[in-house]
Amino acid sequence: MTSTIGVAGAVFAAATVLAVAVIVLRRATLVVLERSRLERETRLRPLALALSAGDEDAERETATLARRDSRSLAATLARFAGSFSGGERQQIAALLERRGDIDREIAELRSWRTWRRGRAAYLLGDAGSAEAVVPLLRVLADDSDRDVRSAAARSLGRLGEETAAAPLALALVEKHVPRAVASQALLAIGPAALPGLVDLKDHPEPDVRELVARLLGVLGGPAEAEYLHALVEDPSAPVRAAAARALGRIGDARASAALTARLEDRIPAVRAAAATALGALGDRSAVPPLLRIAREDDFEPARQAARAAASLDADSVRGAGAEDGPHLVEASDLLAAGIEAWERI
Amino acid sequence: MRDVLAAFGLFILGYFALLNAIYLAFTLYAFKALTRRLRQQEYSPEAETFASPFSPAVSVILPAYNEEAVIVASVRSLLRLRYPFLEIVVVADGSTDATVERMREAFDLVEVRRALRDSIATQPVLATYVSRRHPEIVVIEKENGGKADSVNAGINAAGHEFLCVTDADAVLEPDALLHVTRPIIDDPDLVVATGGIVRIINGCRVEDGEVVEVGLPRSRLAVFQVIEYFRAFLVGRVNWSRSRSLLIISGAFGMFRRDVVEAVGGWWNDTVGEDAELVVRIHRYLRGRDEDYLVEFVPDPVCWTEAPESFRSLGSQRRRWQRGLGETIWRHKRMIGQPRYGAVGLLALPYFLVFELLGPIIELIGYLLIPVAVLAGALNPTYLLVFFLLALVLGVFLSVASLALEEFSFRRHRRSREIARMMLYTVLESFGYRQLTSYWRVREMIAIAMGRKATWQALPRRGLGADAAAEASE
Repeated sequence: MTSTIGVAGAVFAAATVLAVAVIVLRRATLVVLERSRLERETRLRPLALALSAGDEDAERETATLARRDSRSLAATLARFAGSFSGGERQQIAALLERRGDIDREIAELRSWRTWRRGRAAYLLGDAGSAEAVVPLLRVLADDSDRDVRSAAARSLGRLGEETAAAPLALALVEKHVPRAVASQALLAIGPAALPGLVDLKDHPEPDVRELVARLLGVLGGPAEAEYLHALVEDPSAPVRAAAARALGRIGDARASAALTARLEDRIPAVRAAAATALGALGDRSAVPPLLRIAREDDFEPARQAARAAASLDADSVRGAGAEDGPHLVEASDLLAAGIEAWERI
Repeated sequence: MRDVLAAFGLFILGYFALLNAIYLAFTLYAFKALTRRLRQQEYSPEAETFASPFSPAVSVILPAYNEEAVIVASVRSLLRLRYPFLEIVVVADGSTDATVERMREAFDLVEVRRALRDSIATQPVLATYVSRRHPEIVVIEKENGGKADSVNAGINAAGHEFLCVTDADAVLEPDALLHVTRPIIDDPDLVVATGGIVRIINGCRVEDGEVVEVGLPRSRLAVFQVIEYFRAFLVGRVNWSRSRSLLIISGAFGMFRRDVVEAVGGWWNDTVGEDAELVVRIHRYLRGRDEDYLVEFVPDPVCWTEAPESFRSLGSQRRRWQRGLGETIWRHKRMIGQPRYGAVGLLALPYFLVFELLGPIIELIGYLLIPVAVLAGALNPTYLLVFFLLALVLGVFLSVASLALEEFSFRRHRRSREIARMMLYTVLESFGYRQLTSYWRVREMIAIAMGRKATWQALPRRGLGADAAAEASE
């Protein structure tokens, strides 16, 4: 028994020494690595700047660079490309293509090492080369690692790739990538993502339709409102609420009647969303039904309705008394204090 | 007699072996999880996707009892949080000082009769105010009812779906809210509560309510606590969260879904461990209804709090924790061993009962019986020595490993000298510090057993940013 315990003690003592050694070594290597990275970046920076300005002499010079320097240069250039847009970005992308950097990173997407795939997927988004789109879509669909897929999603957004809209939306709903990452990518694609999203408006999954409604609200304009008119009658309550809010966000004046009808919805969250949206539309004819909701309804719809009524017609809530319920009293006090109660749609 | 002693010796050995096996397994997994995160940071799109229009709107609740010294600075630091949709609800809990006046002067408060929910019963609300300068600041003035009661009043006044509960003396990381909302953005229907890493502010340089330079405290007692926090957060909570049985979200900074908190009845007023108790109650409620849900720990530093530097205040803190733990376990004792409560009933609660609540008692009995056993000839002194050395080495190893975890993940301590000092303390903590904390905990257990009420004082506040000055003048 004693000897077993002794052996265990010796093993852990050795492990402790090892752990201490690892910490010390890591500290030391990080210092060295950081220093050499800084040195390399400082040294290559003028070259990168010259290259991104289209200097052909500089491009010839890069042919003789050591491998490490070459990679570092590509990463710097990609970062530059990521912060530019339009012509300059394309010019750097073309340069990276000529240098073979894009092909090398695309090949890296198949590496068996997760972090290499992730790093390549990330860099390709900044680099701005359209050649990367198809390989990135493949990574988004097939890669076994969620973080690598996320990096690909982000890059497809950065590339503004409209064909990526539907795959991104589905990847989001199927939880292949975090919601925040995919929705940010979709927002980065911008209005170009709309056709792909509209195609999904009748998707059997309510989650997909809800996402479509929300994104149409952020990215869309009056042209997309007609799809939202359908979604505001959807069988799923979260879809109706999202569509109502989206209509308010777009500011579609024709939506007033449909939204007023939603004030009678069975689900409180939909009534609240409809009230908020009506406040944003600016149609004063919605004030009487809003006042009724503000007086009588559950907390959340009543609160939203009072705020909406106050923003549409201040006089309708001013001087509200106890008989009007706490929400109109609050709205009236806020008005009297000169505070605009903001509500996010 | 000898047989009894031998049997007890075996029991201690088994207890010790099991506890350390758990620690080792936890450390290994934490290593895996955190190094993976480190690698992934290089290509993580997190930074860019943070502030999206899809982030949930959050009501930050700040309970304040006589906080005139720090309240304005705390609220200013909340205003600096990077987050798109935020409301700040300050609850003045029957303050007898100038808490509300300070707020009124600083933020131009005006009385607005706010509509309040009645979902959780609280002490009466006396008045509600809104800031003219920052309409997102709401102040609730109520009759005194304690911290839990104040948080509940804050929930009734909160306008948003998610609640972030914090403390007037917590110094927040500017990205704290973005970090703890990330799991929620990912899965708004599933995630009901999240919390992050709390760190010790003593020894750090604070400017404008923000930690600008991480340093190690001068106080030895505080250094021991820094290492303790590494073990608790980087090793402990990472693992509890993974096994879906995280029981504690720190009261200094935690995020909750409002409807769930309302459904379970809000914070419980009659305990000193209200943060853990609420999380256990949420588990009990949702598991009891067979709902799928997540309580997640985010392994990012979110906030900094002051650690006690005197024996007296550290003792108070540990006794309060022990009592809070006891009250939580006692209230939810029915969950222990019940398969329907999943890992919470089968793993986490039994662990906290056997190793955290009763651990100090078993440890103390061990210390008392060892000399008896040696004198009675039931224990071979060589064996004792070897066992003691093993315990020491294991303790050092686990602490050094948690230091290594920090080194491989967040690396907030930039000075190598500080790492060396912490390594030294991993050895020192076995000689006195651990025994001392056990002593306080046993003392509190005895007090509870004798039916004595809680007796300790609050930690004196020095105010945000005062630490550096205090440190320099020492």
